[in-house]
Amino acid sequence: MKNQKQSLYLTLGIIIITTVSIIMSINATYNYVNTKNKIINDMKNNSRTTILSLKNNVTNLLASYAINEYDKLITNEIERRKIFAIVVKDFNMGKITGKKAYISGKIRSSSASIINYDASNVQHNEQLDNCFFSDTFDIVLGGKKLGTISIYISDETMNKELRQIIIDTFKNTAIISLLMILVLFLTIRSFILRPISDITDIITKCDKDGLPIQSIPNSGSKEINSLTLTMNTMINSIKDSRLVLKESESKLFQALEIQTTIFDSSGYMMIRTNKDGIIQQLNKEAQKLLGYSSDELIDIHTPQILHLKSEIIHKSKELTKELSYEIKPNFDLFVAMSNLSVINEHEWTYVTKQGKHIPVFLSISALKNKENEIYGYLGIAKDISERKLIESQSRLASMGEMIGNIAHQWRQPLSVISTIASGVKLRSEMDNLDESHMRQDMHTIMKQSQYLSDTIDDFKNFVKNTNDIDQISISGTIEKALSIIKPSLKNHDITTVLDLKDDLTISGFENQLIQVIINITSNAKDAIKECVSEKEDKYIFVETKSTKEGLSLYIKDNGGGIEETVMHRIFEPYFTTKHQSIGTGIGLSMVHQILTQNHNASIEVYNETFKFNEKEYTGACFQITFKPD
Amino acid sequence: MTVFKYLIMLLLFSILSFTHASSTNNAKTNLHKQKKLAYIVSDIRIPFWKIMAKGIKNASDSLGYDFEIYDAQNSAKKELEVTIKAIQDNVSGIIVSPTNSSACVTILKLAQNAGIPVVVADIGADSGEYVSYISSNNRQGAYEIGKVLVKKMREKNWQNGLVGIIAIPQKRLNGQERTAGFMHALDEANIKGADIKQFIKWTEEETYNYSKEMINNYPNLRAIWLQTSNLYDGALRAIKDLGKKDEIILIAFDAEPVFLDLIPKGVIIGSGMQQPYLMGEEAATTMGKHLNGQKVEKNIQLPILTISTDNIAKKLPLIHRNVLGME
Repeated sequence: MKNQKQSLYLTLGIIIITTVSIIMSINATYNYVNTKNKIINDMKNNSRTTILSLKNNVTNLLASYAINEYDKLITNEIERRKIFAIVVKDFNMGKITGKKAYISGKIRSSSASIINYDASNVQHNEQLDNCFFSDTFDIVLGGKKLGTISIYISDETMNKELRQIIIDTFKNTAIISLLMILVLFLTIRSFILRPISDITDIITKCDKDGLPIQSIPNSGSKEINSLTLTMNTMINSIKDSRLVLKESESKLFQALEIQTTIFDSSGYMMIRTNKDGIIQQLNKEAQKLLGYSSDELIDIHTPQILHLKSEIIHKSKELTKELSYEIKPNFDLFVAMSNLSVINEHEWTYVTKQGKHIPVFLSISALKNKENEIYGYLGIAKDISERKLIESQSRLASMGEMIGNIAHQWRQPLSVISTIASGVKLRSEMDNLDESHMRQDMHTIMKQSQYLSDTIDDFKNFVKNTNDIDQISISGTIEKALSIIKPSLKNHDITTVLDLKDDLTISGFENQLIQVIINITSNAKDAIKECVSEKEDKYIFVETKSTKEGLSLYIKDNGGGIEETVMHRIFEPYFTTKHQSIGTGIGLSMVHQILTQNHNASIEVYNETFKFNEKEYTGACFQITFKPD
Repeated sequence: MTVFKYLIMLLLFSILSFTHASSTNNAKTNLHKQKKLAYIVSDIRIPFWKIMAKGIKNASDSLGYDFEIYDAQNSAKKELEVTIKAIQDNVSGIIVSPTNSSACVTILKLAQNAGIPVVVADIGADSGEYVSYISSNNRQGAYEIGKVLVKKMREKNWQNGLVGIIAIPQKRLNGQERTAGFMHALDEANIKGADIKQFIKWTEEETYNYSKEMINNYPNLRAIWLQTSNLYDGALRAIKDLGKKDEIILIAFDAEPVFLDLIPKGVIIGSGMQQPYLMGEEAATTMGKHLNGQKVEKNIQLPILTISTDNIAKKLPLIHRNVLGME
C-alpha cells in the first residue's frame, strides 16, 4: 500500500489555523473574562455611587413628604442607569398610612419600561429576589431613620451586554484570525515554502539513478541558501560516490568471482550451514566427491548425513569426556569446539551417497557477524585418502626397516645362543657336561633371550597404533629410536655421535616421533652408504639444543649433502633421490606431516660443512624445532 | 318520607341562601362609599380656595352629596394625612386642589389604590390617574389681559416703553401659561418686556422690592404686571414711593374685593380674573357625572374674565358670583 504523505502546505495551514485559533481563543476568553469582571465591578461601583447620591437627594424629599419627587428622582436614575429597580421604604409616610413603612419604587417590566413597584406583587418580589446584585442603605436625617433605599441590579442587561461582547469578540477574533492566518500563510509561503517548492521542482528532475540533473540555484533566505549549498554538496558527493561505488561494485564482483572460483576449485570440500546446522551451500568439489547435488542437501539436511554414525557416537563420547559436559551425537558435536572459539580440526570419515567411505581432514569455523554473533558454520574438508595410503605405506616401510633392524639385533644373540647350544651339544656328545659351565651357558642363553624379548617389545611399541597423547621426553624418545636403529648403523660401520644435554617434554605420540628419527637416520645411513667409501669414517651426529623457541634437534651426517636443486622437494610424497629398490619417497613426507601436523613442530633441511676430529665433512642437516606446550 | 326529607333540606338551603345574601348586601352597604365629596385643599385660608370650596359645596348640595373640606394647611405632611383621612372616611369622590402638582401625584396614587375617583381642581398633577382636571384657561386669560394693557399703552403712546412682570413661580404650569399668553399679546404689539421676577416669599415686601428694582433698573418701564392679586399693594407703594404714579401702569391677575374699587379708578387698569366659584361648581358637577356613570371630559378649561376699567361695571354680577363667591 502506498504511503499517502500530506502536503506541506496542508500541514502548515493546519498548524497556522490551529495555533492562531488557540491563541486568539485564549486571548478572546481572557478579554471576555476581564471585561465581564470589569462590567460587574463597574456595575457594583456605579450602583453604590448611584444609590449614595440618590440617598442624599432622597433624604430631604422623604423628610418633606415629597413622595412624587423622590419617585421622579428614582425614575430618572433608573432611566439613566442600568438599574433594575429602586425601592424606598418611607417610615414617615408609613406612619401616615398606618403601616410600618410606605413602600414605593420603580421596577423594570418585562418590556424594559419602568413601572411602579408594587410590594404586594409576587412577581415583582420574585424578580427582586432573583436580582444579581442588591444593596440597601438607611436614610437618616438628624439621627432619625426616615427609611431605607434599596437598589437592585439585574444581570439581564449585563448578560445582554456580554452576549453582545461575545458576538463582537467573536467577529473581531474571526477577522483578526483570518487576517493573521492569511498573512502568516502568505509570508511563510513566500519565504519558506516557495524556495522549498522550487528546490523540490529541481530535484525531482532526475536521471535514471534518481539524482538531480541540475544543481539547485541559490535563492531565498540564509537558511535556504545554506540548505541549497548543502544539498548541492550532497548531490555532488553522491555523484562522486556513485562512481566510486560502481568501481567498488566491479571490484566486488571480481572478488566474488574469485571467491566463487576458490570455493568451487580449491580442491577442498566446502559446506556452509546456518547456525542450526542446516546446509546452505556446498561447493562443486563436495558435490563431486560426496555424490549429492545441492538440491538434495540445501535447506534439508545437516552435515550429519555425511558422517559415519559409529564415528559420531564414538567422538561424542570422547568430546563429552574432554569437555566434561554432554555433547550429543548430532550437529552440536561438529561445532562444539568452534563455539568455544577453539581450533576445530579433526579427521573424520565421510560417507558418500553411494556408501563409499572417504577419510577427510575437516576444519570447522564459526561464521560471525559484526556483533560477534554466530550466524553459521563453514566446514572445509580435505580428502586425506591419499595421505592415509601414504601413512600406511610408510608404516609398512618402517616395519620392513624395523624387521631388518630386528634381524640385525637378533642375529648376534641367536648366534650366541646357537654357539652355546652347539657347545652344550658337543660337550654332551663328548660327555663332558659340566654343571658349572652348563649354569653359565643357561644364564647367557636367558640373558640373550631377554634381549630378544626386549627387542620384540620395542618393535611392538613401535607398531602399536595408538591415538593416545602422552607426555614425552625428546631426549628419551631419541634414545629409544636409536636403540632400535643402532645395530643397523653399527652393521654399516656408522658411528653415532650423541649430544643430548638439553631436553624438552611435550605432548605427543612417542611412536610417531620414533618413526621420525628412524626415518631421518635411515636416510642418513643410506646417504653415507651411497656416498662414503668403505675406508672413510662414517658419522651420524644427533644433538639437542635449547633455543628461544623451545628445543632444536639436529641430525646430520657426513654423506655429502643433498643436491640443492632437489632440496625443496624432499618432503614431497613419493619424491626420492634413491634407487627405487631402497627408496619409496614416503619417509620424509611422513616425517614432515608427523612433525608439523601432530606435534606443532617445524623441520628444515640444509647442507652443512663441519669439522669433527680435525677433519672436514659435508652432509645434510635436519633441524627439528619443538615448541613447549 | 324521603320527599319530605328533601323538602326540609330545600327549605333549610333557601333560608341559608337568603341569610347569606342579606348579610352580603349589608356588607356591601357598609362597604359602599358614603355619599360624600371630599375637597382636599392646600390652604383654605386663601380666598381663591375658599371661594372654590363654596362652588363645590353648592354643586354637592345640588347633587345630594355631603361635603367636607380637608385642609392641608399648606403642609405636605398634612396634605397626605388628610388624604389618608378622606380615604379612611370612604368618601365617594375627592376633589383636590393640591399644594403642588407633584404632591398631587401621591394623592392620586393613594386614592387610586383605595378606588376613589379624583377630580383635580386647578394646580394640576404631574402624573397619575384622575377623572378630570378643571382649570382656568390661563394662557387665553393672560393674552386677553395683555391686550388690555397694550390698548392702554397705545392710548398713552407708551408703546415704546417696557413692561415688567412679577410672576408666580414659573415652575408651575399656570405660571408658564400666564407668562406665555401675556407675552404673546405684547409681541403682537411689538412691546418689549423688561424683566420677570418670581415670587419666593409671597409677601407684599417682596412685591415692593421687585417693583422698585425694576423701576430703578429700567427707566423706560411703563407697566408692571402682577400675576396674582393679593400682593398688589406692594407694587402700588413702590410706584408711589418712586414718584411714578402717572408714569407706570399696574395691571393684575385674579381678583380681590378691593379691585372692584381700584379698577374703576384706574389705579389698577385691569385684571384677568379666574372664576373659582365656577371651577368649584364644575369640579363637583363633573365628579357627580362620573359617579353617575356618565362620561366626562378629561380636561375642562374654564374661561378667565378679562376685567378692565372699561367693562368692570358691566361684568360686576359675574365677578360677584363666579370670582368672589358672593351668592
